[in-house]
Amino acid sequence: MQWGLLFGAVVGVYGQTKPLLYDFTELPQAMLQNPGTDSPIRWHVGVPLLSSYSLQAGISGFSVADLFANDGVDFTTKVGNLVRDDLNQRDRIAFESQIELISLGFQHKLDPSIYYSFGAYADFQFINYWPSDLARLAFDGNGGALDRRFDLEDLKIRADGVIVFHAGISKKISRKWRVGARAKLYSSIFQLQSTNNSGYFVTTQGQNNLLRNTLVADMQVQTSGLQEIQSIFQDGVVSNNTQRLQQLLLRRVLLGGDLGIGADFGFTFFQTPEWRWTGSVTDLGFIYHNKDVLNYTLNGAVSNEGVQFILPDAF
Amino acid sequence: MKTRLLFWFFLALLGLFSLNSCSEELDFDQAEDLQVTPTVATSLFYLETPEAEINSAPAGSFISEVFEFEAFSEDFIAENVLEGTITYEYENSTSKEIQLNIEFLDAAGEVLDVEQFPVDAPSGAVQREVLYGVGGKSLDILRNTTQIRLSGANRGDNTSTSSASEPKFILRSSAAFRLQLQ
Repeated sequence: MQWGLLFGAVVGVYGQTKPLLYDFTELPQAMLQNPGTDSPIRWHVGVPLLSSYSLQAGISGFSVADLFANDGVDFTTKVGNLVRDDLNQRDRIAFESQIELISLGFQHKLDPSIYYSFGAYADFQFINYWPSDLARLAFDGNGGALDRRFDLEDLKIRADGVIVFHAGISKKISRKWRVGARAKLYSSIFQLQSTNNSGYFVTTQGQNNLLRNTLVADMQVQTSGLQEIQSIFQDGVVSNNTQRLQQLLLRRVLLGGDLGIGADFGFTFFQTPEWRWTGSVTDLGFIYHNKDVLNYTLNGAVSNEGVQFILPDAF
Repeated sequence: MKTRLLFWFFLALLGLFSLNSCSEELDFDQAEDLQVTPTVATSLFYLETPEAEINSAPAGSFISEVFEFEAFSEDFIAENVLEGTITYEYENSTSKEIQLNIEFLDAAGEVLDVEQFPVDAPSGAVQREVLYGVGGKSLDILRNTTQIRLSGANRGDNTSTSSASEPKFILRSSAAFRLQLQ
């Protein structure tokens, strides 16, 4: 029992991205959360762009109300307290938006226990973990921080936009079980990722001079699809840019971007008429990024003690 | 009767709570007051001269070098610096007194400022801090400096030798700048 509670607590932390939809069997969108949902629906058709739209944004580690409260405390002091004490590398800023483009489904004519569903949706995600040490370095600097290592691994950011085409099937295979699966085809619009960084910046007492600044870095930012978008905005003529951007996005929406495949699996288990268990695994898959790829790498180690003149060899 | 009383009591309580909201007034304009002013510290230059080199130099001058130094005049520093401190530390274990001058030059070679160090012989580690900004020298000296001239002169003889092991003259320096990022 105790283990059961613990399991529940852990799962609760990393729950569904759209928990309100989960197992809301009357809504067709619940099938995207669990393809094995026991839905009473006989058929459904969504209104493009309107039938499902979700947007969520959040921060952890502090509340906007506390930060912007009109409490007479100096704003820089409040931000300073956040940067120095309150926020850490587990806190994050996240944003997610999903727009349904097409959605339709129907029961099998001869076998009503089978339900087919198809559709497409656009998914945009951004998550940025708080770069604790780098923020501290930017806010206070390295002056007065002798021997303090500022870790670079705190820098973790990810943003992507993807169009997902999907086709699913669910079937009640027995009196107690309904199972479902959904195949997905991903078309990436853009992606940016910097997650596996390591290294540090430190100021120590110098061997010769008063201070030594050392940077040891193994950092990478991976992007795909961004370079072309960036070049459109650098062109200068706004009207041309809008047209070019539309053309580019349309091309990528229609499978012209980086492609990937994935799958969802889910089930409903009817233990008793009043008690049922459901579960699903979604987005098991990958996107192969090979178009418009641009990566930035910072790798190496360097130390600096200023300009050094050691006579007689200096000149 | 009791139930009705309880109903009115809770209704009054609800009314009272609704009048005393827990929400605080927010002021998003205060974001404009944010001041991000980190202090950036780095070493500047290091000079090390053995006594033999000082003895062998002609006419008393053992070093006179101009070198490019545009760290201060970089746009990012020049535009955002609020104040700064340059720390010098010298140490002389040779047998002769030394006069060291550090001149800050602009792009045209004009001298903007001079730091003069009359160094005793011998001398332990002596530190000098020079402030720039409020209460110190003008920040424009740093903003306009693109070259530094280091010149050192021997104020003693050219033959004596210190009994210290490896006698030498050393100058260390570092700078700390407070920058206005926001």
